[in-house]
Amino acid sequence: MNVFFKKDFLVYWRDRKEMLIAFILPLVLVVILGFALSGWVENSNENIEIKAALVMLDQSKEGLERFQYKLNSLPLTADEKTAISKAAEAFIPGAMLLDMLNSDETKGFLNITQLDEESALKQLNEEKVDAIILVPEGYTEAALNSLLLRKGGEAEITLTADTDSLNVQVLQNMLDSFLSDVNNQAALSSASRSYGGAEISGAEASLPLVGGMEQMEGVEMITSFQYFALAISIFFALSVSTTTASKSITEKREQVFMRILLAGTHPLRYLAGKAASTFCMSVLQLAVLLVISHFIYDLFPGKSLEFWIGLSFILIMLCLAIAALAALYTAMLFRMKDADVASGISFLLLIVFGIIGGNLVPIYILPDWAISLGNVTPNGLALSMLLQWIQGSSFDDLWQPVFYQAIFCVAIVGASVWIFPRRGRL
Amino acid sequence: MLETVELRKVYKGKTAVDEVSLYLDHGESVGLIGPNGAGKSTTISMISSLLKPTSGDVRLNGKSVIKHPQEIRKVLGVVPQQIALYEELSSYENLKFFGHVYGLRGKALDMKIQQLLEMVGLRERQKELIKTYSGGMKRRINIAAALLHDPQIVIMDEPTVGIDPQSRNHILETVRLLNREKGTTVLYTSHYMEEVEQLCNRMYIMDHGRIIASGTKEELQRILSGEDTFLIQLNHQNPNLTSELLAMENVRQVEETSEGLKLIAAKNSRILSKIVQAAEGHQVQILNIHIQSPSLEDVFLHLTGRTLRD
Repeated sequence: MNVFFKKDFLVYWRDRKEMLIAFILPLVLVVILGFALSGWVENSNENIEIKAALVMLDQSKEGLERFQYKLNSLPLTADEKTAISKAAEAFIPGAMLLDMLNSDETKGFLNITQLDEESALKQLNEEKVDAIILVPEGYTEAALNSLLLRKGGEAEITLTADTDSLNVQVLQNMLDSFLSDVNNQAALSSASRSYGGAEISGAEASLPLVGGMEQMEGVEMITSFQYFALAISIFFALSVSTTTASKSITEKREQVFMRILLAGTHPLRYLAGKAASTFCMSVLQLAVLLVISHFIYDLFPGKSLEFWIGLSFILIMLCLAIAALAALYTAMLFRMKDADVASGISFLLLIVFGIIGGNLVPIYILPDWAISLGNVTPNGLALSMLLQWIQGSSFDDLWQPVFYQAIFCVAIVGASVWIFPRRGRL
Repeated sequence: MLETVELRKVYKGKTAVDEVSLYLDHGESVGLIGPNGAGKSTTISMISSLLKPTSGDVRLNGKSVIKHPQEIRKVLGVVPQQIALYEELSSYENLKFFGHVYGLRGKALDMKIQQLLEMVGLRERQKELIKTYSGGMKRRINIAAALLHDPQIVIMDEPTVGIDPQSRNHILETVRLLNREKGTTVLYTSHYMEEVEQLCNRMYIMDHGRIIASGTKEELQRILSGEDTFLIQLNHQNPNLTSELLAMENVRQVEETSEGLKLIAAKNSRILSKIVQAAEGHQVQILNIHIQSPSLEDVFLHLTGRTLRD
């Protein structure tokens, strides 16, 4: 396979026209689209309109009273009891959640309706709301017990939705961030009590109380240059699979493939070489484009090593999928009598994948069904993963789409091997 | 050494190759002649195990190539009609790639490449990309790529199409060298009858998918031993004269060529005076009459009713 890989890579590298298209055109497009369509990306949160039902079974005031009553029965000093009680008054999770959901910052895109559980489910079924946020009975008491006294189980807010739409993802991110913020504050509160005594508790009140906004800032943070640098780079990397297939047409027509078969080489070595060279070419292309874009447009300033590792991982998975597609297109080309038809199919798929995957048009302007469909394309999935990753998703959030990408690769490689004329006859 | 037995290939109900039986003995140089669409390339593809015949067999030393394609691939070198090379690679890189594909490595491969480049006269230009070469130079490298593994049998499919005389001579010399000095068995297909005459001990004439004649040059010429060929140079062509000549007794064929009229008549038919009279009758002046012994082109024309390059 090595010899095929070297040859294919060299053939790519020497094709000046192809190299210009692969490396210069995307950068030009990023500049043009970054400026021309900046509003579509950067103001996309204005277009997001999330409708959610809030089922509030928790009574914050009663929850606080029960907590304070229980606190008094604990074997603590009077000073400690006073400090914890004050902290609890300034730190009521149920109320904080309501504040966050009804804040001025979220009003522009989040429409919360408080409903009972039955009505909320009905509205969800009728698709009148995107999701239901349920705050269970006794949430405040349980949260205060857990956070300030380290007693009892974790208090849980649940989010219920029928589809994993962008709106639901944004809402989920807000809640995740809110809970993370609540936990951080509780940790700070505990630390303060350990070291500073009762007076410090006053400082707690001055801590930022609005959880979730941190994440929303993340949503807004996707700039048009970030979006298009990723989208265009992915699209051009995807196009390497089509280019590979078009080069195979020449090899078939000019009987180079025949010559390779006559040498007694197993045909799958040829196919593997195609996939390997496509993988390397797409990795190189993405690396060069994103590194240059990063330095020109300052795409990801101050990001951690972990961020870059995650980014690289997502892109490598994408390149594996692109390599698999190159193998499939090549196999189709050798299987079909008319190579131009096979080439036409691969080009058509490139364009369709590019559109529904959000590479040629911003994903935010696509209808939900197109976004869902785009998420089964390797490019659409990679772009969606990258956007989430930039917004601060964790590695845990990536496993499911990465697993899907791996399944896609295996299925496409299997199909390619099955289609390719492996017996060594034309 | 290599033989085909009633080889047949049918594509979508159309018979491309029909019961072709031919053989190549060790060290022979055999020509396969036929116009475009005669079925030569399909026959070659089946011989080289790339195409499965509808029926019939190809045997190498008595062993079926259809069942054991790897056997022939080890000993066969094929020079395809197309330039089966990578344009973006140099001739050295192309030969190195195909050498690797044949399992050659290291110094042995390097030496073989240099030897072949020397043989095809392109050693000095080995670093240049194929796309910068002339058509003839590309064809020479195309041949070299088929010889990397020292094949016992070489099949050449129209190796001199569309090239300059210098490259053509070079290629013909290479084929001679391979066959006569190295003992390589050669199956040579061409449109150019004179090439086949020069290079081959025996030849097969193919038309409409069938072998219509075979033998040595002399054996084939004997097909026309009962005929005389007249090459008549005129001051101008006259279609009426052509028609009148064709209608004459014992005249079998009249063809207008760039050099004049080519007339084939039964041997000793004594029609020379009649030709002169007919020309005078149509006020056409005869500049020269040359009586030719029949060429292989004439044989082909006689057998198929058309020229090789029709």
